[in-house]
This record gives sequence, C-alpha cells and structure tokens, in this order.
Amino acid sequence: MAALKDLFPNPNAAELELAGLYAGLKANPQRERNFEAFAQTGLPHTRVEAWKYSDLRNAVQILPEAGIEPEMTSASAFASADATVIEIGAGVPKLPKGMRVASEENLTALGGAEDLPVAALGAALARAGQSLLIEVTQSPEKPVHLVFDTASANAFQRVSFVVRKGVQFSVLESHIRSGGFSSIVLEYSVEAGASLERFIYQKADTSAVQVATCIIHLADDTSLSQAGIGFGAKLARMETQVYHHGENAKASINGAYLVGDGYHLDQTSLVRHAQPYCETEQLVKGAVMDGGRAVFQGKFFVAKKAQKTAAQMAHNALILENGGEVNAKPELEIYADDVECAHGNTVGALDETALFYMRQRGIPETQARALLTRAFIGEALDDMPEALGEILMEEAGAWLTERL
Amino acid sequence: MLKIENLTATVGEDDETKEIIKGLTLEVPAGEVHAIMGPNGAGKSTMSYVLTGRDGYEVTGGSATLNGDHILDMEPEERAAAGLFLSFQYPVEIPGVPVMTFVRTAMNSQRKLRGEEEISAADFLKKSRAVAAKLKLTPEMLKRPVNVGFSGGEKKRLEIFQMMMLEPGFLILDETDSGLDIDALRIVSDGVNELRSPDRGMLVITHYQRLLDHIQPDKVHVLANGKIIATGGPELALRLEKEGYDGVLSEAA
Repeated sequence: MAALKDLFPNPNAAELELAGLYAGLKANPQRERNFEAFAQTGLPHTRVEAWKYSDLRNAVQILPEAGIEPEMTSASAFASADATVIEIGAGVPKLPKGMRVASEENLTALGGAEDLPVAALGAALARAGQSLLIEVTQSPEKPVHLVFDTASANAFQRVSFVVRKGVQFSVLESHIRSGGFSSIVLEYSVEAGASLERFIYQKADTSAVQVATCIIHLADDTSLSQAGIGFGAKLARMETQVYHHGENAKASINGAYLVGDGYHLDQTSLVRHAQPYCETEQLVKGAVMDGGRAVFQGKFFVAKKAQKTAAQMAHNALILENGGEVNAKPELEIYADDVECAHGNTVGALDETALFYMRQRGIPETQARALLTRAFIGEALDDMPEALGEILMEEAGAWLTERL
Repeated sequence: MLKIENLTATVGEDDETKEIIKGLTLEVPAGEVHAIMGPNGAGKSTMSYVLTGRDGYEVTGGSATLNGDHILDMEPEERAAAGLFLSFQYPVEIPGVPVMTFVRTAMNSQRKLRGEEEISAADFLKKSRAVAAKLKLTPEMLKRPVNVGFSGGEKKRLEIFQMMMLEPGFLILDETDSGLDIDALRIVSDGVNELRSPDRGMLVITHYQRLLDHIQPDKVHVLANGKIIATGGPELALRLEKEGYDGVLSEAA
C-alpha cells in the first residue's frame, strides 16, 4: 500500500482514507488497475481540465459522514412510476424475467479509466454485491427502476448491463443522496439492434458529494434515448459517455436541471463517433438561482472514419436571479470531412416582455416566472414517455413554485 | 369607469429619462367606446403600458382610477384582476405554454386575486369551445404554445379569444388593426363589438379610421405630444383621415 500512497502527489485526508478503504478489500489485478487509474489523478481539482468547473478535491477534504434524512431516501419522483424497483447494494437483487445477474463481483478493469478517475475509484472500491454484471436477454415487461445506496456514508457501486441483440431495455435511475461521498458507475453495452431508454432523477442535499458516471456502448442499428432532471448537491457530477461503435446508431442525450442556492450540478458528456452513419442529438436546458452553479460540458468527437455523422448539441440556460452561475463548455472535435455537426449555447434571463404579457393577463409574477421556466426546461424532456415526463415536470413545477 | 387625470410619466432611467406623457386627462364612462388617435411618437402605446403597469415606465404625477380604485399603485396582475385588459399591438410568444393552459391559469389567477372560486375544467372547456368557434380558432391552435408560430391575424384573434374568455371590465386595444387583412379585421371587430356592454368601457388606440368603421366609437380623442389636444365625435376621425394630423395640431397650438 505504501507504493500506492506514493502515487498521490499531496494526499489529502480523504485520499488517504480512500487508500485505506482500498487496502481493506480483497486484492485482485483488476481492482488494482482501477485504483491505480484513480490514484494517478487523485480526487480531481480545477487544474484537471475535465474538472475545471467542479473542484471535487476541495469538496471532499475528508470522507464525510452522512446524516441520513429519511425523507431524502424515499424522495425519488420515479417512486410513483410503473416500474420494477431494483435496489443496488441490498444483496443480490431479484430481477424480473429477461434479466439475470451474470456476476456479483464484476471486476473488469474500467475502459478509459485514466480519463475517468472518479469512476475508476467507484469501480475499485465497489465490493461484492455492490458491483453487478447484469445480462438482459429479453425485453422486460416494465421499465426497471434502479435505486442506489442512500444509507451508507460513502457509497461505491458499479452496475454493468449487457443488453443483448434486439432487446428493448428501459431504465429509470434514482440518484438520491443525503450527505456522504458517492461514486456510482454504470455501464450499458447495447448490442446490435437493441435499444436503451435511460431516464434519470438526481436529487441530494447540500452536504452530499455525488458522482455518477455512465458509459454506454452502442453497436450497429441501436438506439439510445436518455433524458432526466437534476437538482445538484454540494457537488454533483452526472457524466455520460457514449461510444458509437457500430453503424446506424441513434443517440439522444437530453437533460434538464434546476439548481438552487448552495447547490452545484455538473453535467458532462462525451460522445465518440467511431463509425459512419450515426446520429447524436443533445439538448440540455436548465435554470439557476442565486447561489447555485450549473456546469455543462459537452464534447462530440468524430473520428476520421465516421463519415455521414449527424450530431447536434444545444445547451440553453436561464439565470433566474443575479448571483446564479452557469459554466458551459461545448466542444466539437471532428476529423471526418463529410459530417453535419453543430453546437449552440445560450445563457440568458427570462423574457421580460413575456413576463409582462402574462402578468397583464392576471398571472402573478412568481407564478409567471415558474410557468416560463418550467416550459423552458421542459423542452429537454419532450421526448420522454408522457407519463414519466409529467412526473418530472410536476417535480420541476413544485420546486420552482417553492423557490421563486 | 376609467378616469385619468393630469397624468405625467417618463420612460427610461437616469440620463436617458424622457417624459412621454405630459398631463393627460381622459374619462371613459361605462358602456362607452373611445378612440385615441395620434401621430407616431405621441405617447399612445406608452399610455397603455403606463396604465397596465409595465416595468420601465414611471408615473411622475397625476392619477388613474378604474371604478374609483387607484390602479397606478397596483401590480400588473392586480390591475388585470381589477378588470383592465390590454390587447397588445404585438402579442408576445410564450414558448412551451399551451394557449389553453395559459388562459385557464390567467382566469383562475384573476379569480383567486378577486377572492372567487376557480372555474371547473368542464365549464372552462365548454366556454373555450364556444368562444373559439366564434373566432374561427381550431382546437389544434389552442393546444399550441401561446402565439408561437401564429400569423399576425391569428395572434390578434387570440387576443380577442382571451378577452372573450376573461371578460374584463375595461379594454385597451392597442393598434389591434395592425397586421390584419380585411377578413381578419372583420372577425376581430365582430369580437370586440360583441363585448360592448353597458358595464364595460373600451379605449381603442389606432392610427387609422379604417378600424373605426368596424368599431364605432362614442368619442374620438387626439393624443399628441403626451396629452389630449382635441376631443370630438366620430366625425373627428373622419376629419383626421381627410386632413391628416397637421390641421388639428396647428389648431391646438
């Protein structure tokens, strides 16, 4: 262990504690590989380019102790959705027909781990039963609702799905935390002709530090439809990586956010087009209040071979009050010459003319602001199945009414 | 009904402050329709914004009352609940908010401010169907976001739709005829005329006589340089149409 500790240039207390947690786990080469990948960077800080707006090292100086608030743990808006709940971390889960646990201790080394230090940490520290490999061989009847550990002070979990050929798989993810530090890793390997719907609900309190990293591999003729809403935490980072490995795959990765005073939400994504004829659409819309900070980092990488790629990225943010902060970094890196790629980014305030028009019709100012903001971010949830989209929009409406 | 006395108002801030309304006095009794005509820059739109409480306009003197209530101290939504309705010269797009949601929210907000019960979903639907049919608005249009992708004529018809749904006590129509073809003008004026009633007042702001052929005013006022410089019957509008504003302006000077 001494050798590993030496990998940290200047370990803070939290990093030493993390090294201690690692030392307490059964050693094997894959776990070691994951932890070393983490240790190269340590807890990333603002001088690490991919984390320049989200200073995780500063947020986790010592491993926090969680103060669990019971109402937080059952607070997922998806609780009312018609779905099969799977609790991750409560032993080996019972799965619906068409799904099976292929391994209770998925210890493969994480691909590209050096570029994902916090995910590598999550993979390294996930114990047996907290690190599952799940095979989906038939389309489940209902969506699956993944609920991650909310009870432990610090949670490290990894769930890898293999979605077999032609299967339609719909997943709701509830990322809810009260205090503590967590790194959740999700992997979806979507085989040819299969489709994945991924809907995300993230909510935490202002003492939680929460990182969730999702890596999605898309084969030929697959489709991915992702959307969700996030409210941030002391620091929350919801990261998505999508790899187009096959041809004719379609991905849409949308998201909405509402970030209030004392909250920080980072939505980072990377989409790699390695093969021709694939499409990606991304629409992220959100709003921040005074004292809230939202980060959007989006990157499309198009390899030389990936001709006929069509990829559109848009991020639109509203600053609802002075003092709200939005950092946006949209990037395109394109090596193919026959592609249609674009990105757009706007940050602004609510339209005063529209507000006056609504008030002139009798709608009080706060209600008008809530209605306009809700409609604004709602565009990012338009493609969701109606019932699920409505659940999230209601949540957004209530949040806005409470705060505006 | 609406009584404006010696109103003065400025627009802009600090060094940019400019007085636009310069001692405006006007009274519209219940049951009457008055027209306000005047050259560009006379302060017509400013007057409508000052009366409805838009940000950026500051009242520096005088008063305005609706049924005896001082409206200038109220928030815009309170003025709306008190019965004041402004039909915008350029109706505003509200992306993502469907017409039906918008109008129902507005109606219930007004009722709440007045301490009344909300309208039931069934009653609202029934009423909106009847009004939409009169204005030749399709159910599909009422599902679309407010004014988004609407033509000029559709936007004005939607303003009338809102008026007929909300049934305000006092209407200000700001250049409602702009951007309308003959057919749309007729639909819009029929809607306005239908709203004429002994307990409702209207102020019709327009550049042209044309609208007043359809909506016959009881009185015509000429607004120039921030105040009313002439008042007369419908014949005043005809005279303005024939002679332009110059004649009336020089008489007043």
